[in-house]
Amino acid sequence: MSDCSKPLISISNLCKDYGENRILKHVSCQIESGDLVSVIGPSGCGKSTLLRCLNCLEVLDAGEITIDDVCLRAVDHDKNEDCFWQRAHELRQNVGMVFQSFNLFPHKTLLDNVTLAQIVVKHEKQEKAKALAMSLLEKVGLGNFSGRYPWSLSGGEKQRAAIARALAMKPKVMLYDEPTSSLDPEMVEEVLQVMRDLDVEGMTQIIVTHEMRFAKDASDYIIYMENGEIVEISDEDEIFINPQDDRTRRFLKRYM
Amino acid sequence: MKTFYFIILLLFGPVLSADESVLHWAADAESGAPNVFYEDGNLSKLVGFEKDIMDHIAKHLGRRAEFHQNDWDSLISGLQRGLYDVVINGFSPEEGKESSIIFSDPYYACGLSLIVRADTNKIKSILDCNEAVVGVLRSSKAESTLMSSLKNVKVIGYPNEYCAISDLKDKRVDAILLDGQVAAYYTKKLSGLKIIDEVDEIKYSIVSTSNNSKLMAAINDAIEHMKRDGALDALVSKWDICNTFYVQLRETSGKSKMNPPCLNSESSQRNNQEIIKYLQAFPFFMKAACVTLMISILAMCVAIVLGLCLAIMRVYMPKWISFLAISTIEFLRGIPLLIQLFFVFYGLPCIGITLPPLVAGILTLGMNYAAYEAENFRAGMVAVPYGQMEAARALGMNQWQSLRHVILPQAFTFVLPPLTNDFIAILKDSSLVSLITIVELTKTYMLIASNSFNFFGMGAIVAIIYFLIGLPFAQLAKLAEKHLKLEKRAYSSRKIGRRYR
Ligand SMILES: Nc1ncnc2c1ncn2[C@@H]1O[C@H](COP(=O)(O)OP(=O)(O)OP(=O)(O)O)[C@@H](O)[C@H]1O
Ligand SMILES: [Mg+2]
Repeated sequence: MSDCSKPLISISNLCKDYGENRILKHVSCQIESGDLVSVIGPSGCGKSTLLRCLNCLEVLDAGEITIDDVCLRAVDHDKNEDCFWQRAHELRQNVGMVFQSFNLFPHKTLLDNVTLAQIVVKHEKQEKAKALAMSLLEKVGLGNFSGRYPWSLSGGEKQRAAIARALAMKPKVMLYDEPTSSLDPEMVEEVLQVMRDLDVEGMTQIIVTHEMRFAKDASDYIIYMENGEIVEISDEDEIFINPQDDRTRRFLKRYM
Repeated sequence: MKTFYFIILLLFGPVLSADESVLHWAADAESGAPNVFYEDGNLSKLVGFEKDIMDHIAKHLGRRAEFHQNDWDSLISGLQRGLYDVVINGFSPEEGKESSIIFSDPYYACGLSLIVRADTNKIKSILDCNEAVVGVLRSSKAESTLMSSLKNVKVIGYPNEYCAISDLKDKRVDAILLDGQVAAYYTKKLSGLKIIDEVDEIKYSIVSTSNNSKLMAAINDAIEHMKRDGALDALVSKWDICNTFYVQLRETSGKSKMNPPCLNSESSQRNNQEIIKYLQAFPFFMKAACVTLMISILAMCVAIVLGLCLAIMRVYMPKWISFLAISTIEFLRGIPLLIQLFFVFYGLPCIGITLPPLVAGILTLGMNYAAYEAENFRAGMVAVPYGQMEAARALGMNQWQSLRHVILPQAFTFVLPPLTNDFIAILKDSSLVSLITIVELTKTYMLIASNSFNFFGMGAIVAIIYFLIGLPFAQLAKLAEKHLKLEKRAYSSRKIGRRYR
């Protein structure tokens, strides 16, 4: 367990460019261990990009990210690439990612989906990996589905399986990029419930979502982003009832 | 593991057995009668005048004679490459002007005979051939003689005697000019032809390379011995190939009690049943089919491994490596397979890389096809959604692990059908390796057919064998495809089932 006074995640001055365009502009924030944070904002404001940077799927162009004492600096990428990627690999070990389009491995059963990375990356024994996988599948309500292939599942089941797959690496942080956006309404709740359960267990979670109700009810606080900047970080009730910033107000008006 | 050693032995065997007690000699037995040929197309019966001479010489040297088949065009290159010790196949000293090649004393002499169809009256001598179309063996003495003596003759070069004679019978040429005893053999064997003129003299010598001069001295000694004890004369009369030039040759180098033959001696009529010929050919076709299959499978393995590497380099590596891969692919598939084959087999030895024929053949075929496989694999990998790679990376796998466990298994589904296609193509292209002394299915067909004068029936058999070899692979691929695509099929049937229930 890390020091309580020290945030689990700290992002400072994070910048990300795609070609000429600066997509993330000096983003800074700190997230404590055990928090459930929702990130909201208009389309194209850079929410996904922020998550992808946290998981090193994108290389940051300036600033630094620290997750559980592993510090990744943009300057290192230019100076010493090998060292940078070594760090990125370490950092990734603590971060689980869930995608909008599930991205389950279609050629493997659910069980194999969940055990694969454990065996390949962590060199776990087959039985141990299987035991963990089974307990995780059970936890997300897919205990009876372990032998099924992804094509035979509904969208909600797929997303829960994807969550189990990410949890199998025992991450300290879970990132979700619009986990429920491609689901039919009746399946949204079962996925959200899994995240609530994880929150109760003390998992740190960052969720990019358009589910305002979930954001309001479940999150500890909400980050509002616009145009590559964090406009407002505030308590979940506060932001909905009394947004501090004009831009936030305008955005929420459209949703409420 | 055992099969592995077996394959290694098979690939490198010919090189390892370089041993002093064997005299390796080469000739082209493809319609090689009466010099070196397979009796009635039976590949277990190598016979002929020159074969007998080599047996005598080998016995004289206290060695065992071992025959190597090679195309007439490539006999000398094979010699220079060290595939065998000597070549005996009607070579006369004028034909090779290179200094690294040495010739023995002549063991035979003959003229060049002009053959026409029995009903031809227009051509009475070689001089009538100006304006006519005349067939000869490619790069033979007859070709150069004809070209230098007649201005307006149209010369057509043939790869072997049988092709020339078929074309004469089919009226594609007006006449053909062949070595005397060869012409005599075929006019006796096949009806409707006649010999009308004999010109020029050629002397036959055994060929070797200059670093074999000791061996050549011993061979000359053996020939001299055969001349003196009458063994050579006996062979000449055994094969019924005596002529005035030979008698002259013998008179200048000692006494001969032989008389030139009368031209119309009755040929021994053989009434071999066709069925027996086919039965005899069968085991050889089977063996050759195995060679073809082995070459194809190993070449395909090379192609898959190399192609996969190239594809990965091209798609997932830094720019300069990717560029290297693209260049290699374009290079390999832009150059004719035949040229690559000759380059690897006859060209590389010049810089000290001497590969055994099978290895050279498999590597070249494999390399050529690797270019195509690389493109197949690339298409397959690109067809896997990018999210798969991201999901794998997000789980902490490195690039290689993601490729190995996530991308490639899925890409393989896409690649399987074109892969089968290419295997069947490689099966057919493997016939090209017969040009570097490997006797596989196509070469076996050529040898049997040209020696038994049966291109039709044997051709049908070979066609069927090729078809049958390819068939199980096509089926296998269909099966595997079905298995791999199971997911999608099952999904759709489930959906349909749900809808109609
Ligand atoms: N690979 C890329 N190359 C260039 N531009 C990109 C790339 N990925 C994203 N962008 C741009 O970056 C900006 C932010 O994209 P991002 O996906 O982070 O938005 P988002 O907030 O997640 O939007 P949404 O809510 O629609 O998912 C967009 O303007 C997008 O066009
Ligand atoms: Mg997004």
